[in-house]
Amino acid sequence: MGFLYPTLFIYDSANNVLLPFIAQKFEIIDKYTVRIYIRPEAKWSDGKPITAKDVYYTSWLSTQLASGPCVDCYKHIKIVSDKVFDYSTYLVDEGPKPDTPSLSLSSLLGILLAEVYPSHVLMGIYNSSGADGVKNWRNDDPAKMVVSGPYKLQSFDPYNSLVFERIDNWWGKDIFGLPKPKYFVFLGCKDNTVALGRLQNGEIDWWTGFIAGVNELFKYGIGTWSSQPPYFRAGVPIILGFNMRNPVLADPNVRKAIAYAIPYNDVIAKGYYNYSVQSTACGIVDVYKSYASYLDTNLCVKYFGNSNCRVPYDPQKAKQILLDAGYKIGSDGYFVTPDGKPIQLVASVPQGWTDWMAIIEIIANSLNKIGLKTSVVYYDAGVYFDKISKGQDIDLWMAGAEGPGPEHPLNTFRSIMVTWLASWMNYSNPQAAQLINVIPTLSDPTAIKQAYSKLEELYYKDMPAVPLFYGAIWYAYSTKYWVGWPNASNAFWGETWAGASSGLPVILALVPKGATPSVPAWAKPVSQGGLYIPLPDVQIALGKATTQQPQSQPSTQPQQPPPQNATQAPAPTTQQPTPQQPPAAQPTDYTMLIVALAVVIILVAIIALLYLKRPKKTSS
Amino acid sequence: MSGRNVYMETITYLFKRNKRFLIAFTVFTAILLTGLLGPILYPVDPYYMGFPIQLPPCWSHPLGTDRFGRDILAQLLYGIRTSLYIGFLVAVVSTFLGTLLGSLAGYFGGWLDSIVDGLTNMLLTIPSGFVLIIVTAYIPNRTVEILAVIMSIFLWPGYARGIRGQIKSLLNSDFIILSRVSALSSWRILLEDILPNIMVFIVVNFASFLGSGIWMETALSFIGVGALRTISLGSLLYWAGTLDAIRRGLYWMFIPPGIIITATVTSLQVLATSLEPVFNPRLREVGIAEV
Amino acid sequence: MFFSSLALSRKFLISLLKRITWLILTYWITISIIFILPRLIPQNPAWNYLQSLYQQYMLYPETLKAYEIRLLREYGVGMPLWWQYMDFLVRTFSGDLGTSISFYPAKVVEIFMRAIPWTLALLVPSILLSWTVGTLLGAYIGYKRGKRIEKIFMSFSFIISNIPSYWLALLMIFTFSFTLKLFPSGGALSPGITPSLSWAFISDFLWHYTLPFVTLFIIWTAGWTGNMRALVSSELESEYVNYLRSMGVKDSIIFRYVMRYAMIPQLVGLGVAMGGVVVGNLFVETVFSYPGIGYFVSAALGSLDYPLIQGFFVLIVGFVFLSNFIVDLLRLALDPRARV
Repeated sequence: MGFLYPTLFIYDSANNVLLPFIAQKFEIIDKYTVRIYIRPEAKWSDGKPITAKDVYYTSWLSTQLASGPCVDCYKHIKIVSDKVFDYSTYLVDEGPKPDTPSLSLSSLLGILLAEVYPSHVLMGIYNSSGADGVKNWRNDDPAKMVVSGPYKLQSFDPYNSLVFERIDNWWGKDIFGLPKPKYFVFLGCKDNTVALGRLQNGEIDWWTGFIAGVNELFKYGIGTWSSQPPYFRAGVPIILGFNMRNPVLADPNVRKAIAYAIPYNDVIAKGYYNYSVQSTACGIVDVYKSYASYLDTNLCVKYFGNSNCRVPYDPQKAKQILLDAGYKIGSDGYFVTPDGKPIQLVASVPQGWTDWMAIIEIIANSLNKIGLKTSVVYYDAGVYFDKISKGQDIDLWMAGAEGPGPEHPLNTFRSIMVTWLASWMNYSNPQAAQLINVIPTLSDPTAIKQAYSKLEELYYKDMPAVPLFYGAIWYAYSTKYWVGWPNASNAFWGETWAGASSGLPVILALVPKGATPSVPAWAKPVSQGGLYIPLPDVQIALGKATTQQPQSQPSTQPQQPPPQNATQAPAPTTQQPTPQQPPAAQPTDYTMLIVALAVVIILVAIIALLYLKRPKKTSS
Repeated sequence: MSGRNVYMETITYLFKRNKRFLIAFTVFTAILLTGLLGPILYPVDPYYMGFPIQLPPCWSHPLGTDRFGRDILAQLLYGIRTSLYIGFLVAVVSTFLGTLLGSLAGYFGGWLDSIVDGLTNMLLTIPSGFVLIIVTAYIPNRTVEILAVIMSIFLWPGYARGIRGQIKSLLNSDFIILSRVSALSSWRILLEDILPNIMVFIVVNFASFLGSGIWMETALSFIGVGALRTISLGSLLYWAGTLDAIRRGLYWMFIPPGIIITATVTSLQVLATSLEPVFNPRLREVGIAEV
Repeated sequence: MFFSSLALSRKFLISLLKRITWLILTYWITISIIFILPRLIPQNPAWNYLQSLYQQYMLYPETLKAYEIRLLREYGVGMPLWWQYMDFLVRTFSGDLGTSISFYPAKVVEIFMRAIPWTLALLVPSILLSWTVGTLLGAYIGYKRGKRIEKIFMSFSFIISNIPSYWLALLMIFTFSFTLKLFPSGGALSPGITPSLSWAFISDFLWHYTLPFVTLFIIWTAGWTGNMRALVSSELESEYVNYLRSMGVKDSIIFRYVMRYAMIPQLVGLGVAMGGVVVGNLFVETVFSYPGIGYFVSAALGSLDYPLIQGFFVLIVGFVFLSNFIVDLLRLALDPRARV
């Protein structure tokens, strides 16, 4: 739970910044290595300091259990001193090799955003009960709990609520301030209607689920990110994907025509309650200024005739594109391929995802109107995703792409044109792939912009997927008891899921109703005296580092490896019980069971047969 | 013993004297006609999402529209038709299965009887409502027809038992023994002698299964495990739930379907029980108006 | 007197054994079918959960990998079918019914134990009360056959017993919760109130409890009334009633006998209904978001939480079989006519 165990750095998507929390700062030493400094004040709630060893062992345990924060990271960690460690993209045991990748934003973030657990507690459990002990350890005893955040568990109610109590002498109170709410209750509320009722009454302060008709709640003192439509902050772009194994959809002209034939405003109004806006044509979430700077508006004028980079709803143009590309209208009024084969498209979304169900119906209706015969089917969600990831049975589908985050907009392009979404669609674009590999190595802002411009042009030419709108980040708060909530006019931090580390800055800023809320001193960029590290700066630093030569490793390290040097096997391992057998070894246990079962079945069958063959009495 | 005349007599008697039968008959026929003719007389596409959203009942949309802009009356009419169709399918399949297996078991006895008996036993012990829901949820391709078959699986056992019992008792009656002695083939006996005598049972159960089928399908659709992309009375309530119609006070979305469901199932049940004395002489003696 | 003769009867013991074996066999087959069905469809549960999470807040690619690894370890996704089956049987018999996906990391058995008291609290009183009222009403009406009041009551109870419970629940919420604002629209407790023996808890609970209780009560009472009345009616046509009547025995005495015999199937019905208590009433609980067994089953179906569905199925069907068996035994013991 990120709430109790905050990460080294916390990322905010609204401002695109990193907040050093457990960590104090990081330095990029060379193109493979980053050095991270843990705050000297950082302590666990039992008084022990948070050290580099904690990071190391947290990762080591995750690897043993094959799940948890930062699996395998420990192999890349070298402990420099108590509070300092180095993370390299090469294995510390081996050193840099010719094929070692240089530090990228995603690998950097992998370690910066890692959770840290108290190694002295966890290793104690591991020593006594092995990996299973750690895996089954519930950590729900408030008396024994050791945390690093400003709250600890006070009570654990089986009726789905967790109560946290503030630690009044929290180590971070001089840096971040002490949070005003003494108690924080985390209610698991599975039902939207009930939760909304409670929100309306002010029984819930912070809600991150879906709300229909949020504007109707404003008069009760409920707020959300913005008091104007679309009310919610934009999240990932929801796209209409194409199965390009269907030769009709492999033609970019058809895809572009479809893009023009979608009534975006209708879709958002009916399917999404106007909670979002139409997405840019390439998926860049330009609602945020920092991402909007990557858009080349000249291209948009050239391709779409407008400078806001949205594909206009123009059914006539859609028809024209098809006709120009050689598609003809058949005898039944629907389009056929240039060689006369009828076109029949199948669109689908998961059954039960009602917004998407409405959206796909509207889209299908619209496509049918321009002459592209489309029918709609639904599948259960698990089946749906299996089918679209393998390209079976469905031609048009919807999915959420990657969106706002430290790697935006690169992640969107990458997911659609190169990685997982591209493989679902059976799409490939070598030029785009090359650009996507080059961009992280650039450090000159002009060069970066040019590269993105080229990428966008490739996208507009091909239209591999049609971004429809942005998924909303559901958020609502009640001002009945607490004020100071982040929103569009108070955007010191982005709203987020309450249980994550990223929820802490929100809580740290709250004040009781009646007091005057103010933006915390640390909630500003470093350049303005705060603690925020803007991502573009990180990107540029990375770009610079990748062009430098790696410094020879030993000169910056102390000559003597410290006693707990990560390159040695950690002392506890030698005392460990043998690690868990991988599942493949288990089948041998079952052969006896199978034999026994077979014997039982045969016996039962014999008995049944004997019973049936008994001489029957005449009366029934 | 002219069986025909007695039947017609009692049926006309039912119509004239048994008020409840008359009402049920009228109600059901009205619903049936609505289902058959409704979508023709009111040719609005129930899937179309282009109408203004959340309209209360008005002239152009007698039952208003929902959150997506679909006409509710069109959905209701279409839904009645679908629900009746499903009920019909369920009734046909389960009556067929039950009659076939029950009569084979009852007439031929022996190992066939044991197998059917065992199967029936098994299916009757499991909590059918619960298992039905779970099994339906697991089917990836839920069409109306597949659902009808699954629902029938849980309906036929009890009925088959009844058929078997009826046939067994019939086998002891004189005219059957006469037929058997005169070496008529088994099939001829089954069709000519036995079938007419269990007709009452079949017909009554058919009507009852019609109601059960509608009831079950509605329940399944309400939870969301009904037929995919199908409009039925149950799906109307499902949408009312998911689109928050209750909280928003869109009463036209959820009140009509429930009324129709209750009316249909009740009237079918009344019909089924009222028809019994038509064929069952013992009940006839007691007085038809009683039932 | 009855019991001693039962116990000594060899035939009875043999039939008992037959019954038990048959039950176990049926149970095992049913469990296996429910186990196999979802595993026959090709599907990808990981992406389902991730995509729904995706749209709520950002997700990093590492999470997908971690999620897949967890799915593999915990739920045996990716192992051959027969291994999964064996694993399932062994774990079930050792009491481990797995971990829920949608309520992670709660174990299925925990969720079941958590939900049972709520379901029992809702269903047991409503079944008992509706049965009692229904039986008395039905008997009374059956007694007064032929009079006007019978016809009116019968029609009403007929119609009401056929009202879909979920529809009535929706109507209840609409009328009493949103329009009249008298009762809450769902849940079992207001937030912040924990179960204890305080008046605050009890009053809050009852406040939430009323609407679901009334919904079930109305429909079930109508059902039991109709049932009892039909039973009484058919008993009144029996030979012995005619005989007693022709002897001039008073109506009320005849009635006592009739009641006794009519009660038996009615009691059996009660037994069966009580056996079904564990199933929970899926519809009413879901509509009211009342955290009982039915609610969790419905939630599991909605999110396709297979371990939860499977685990609950094993437990619920087991309970139902057990209680049906007990009811059978009781019926044999009480009703001389049913003993073959």
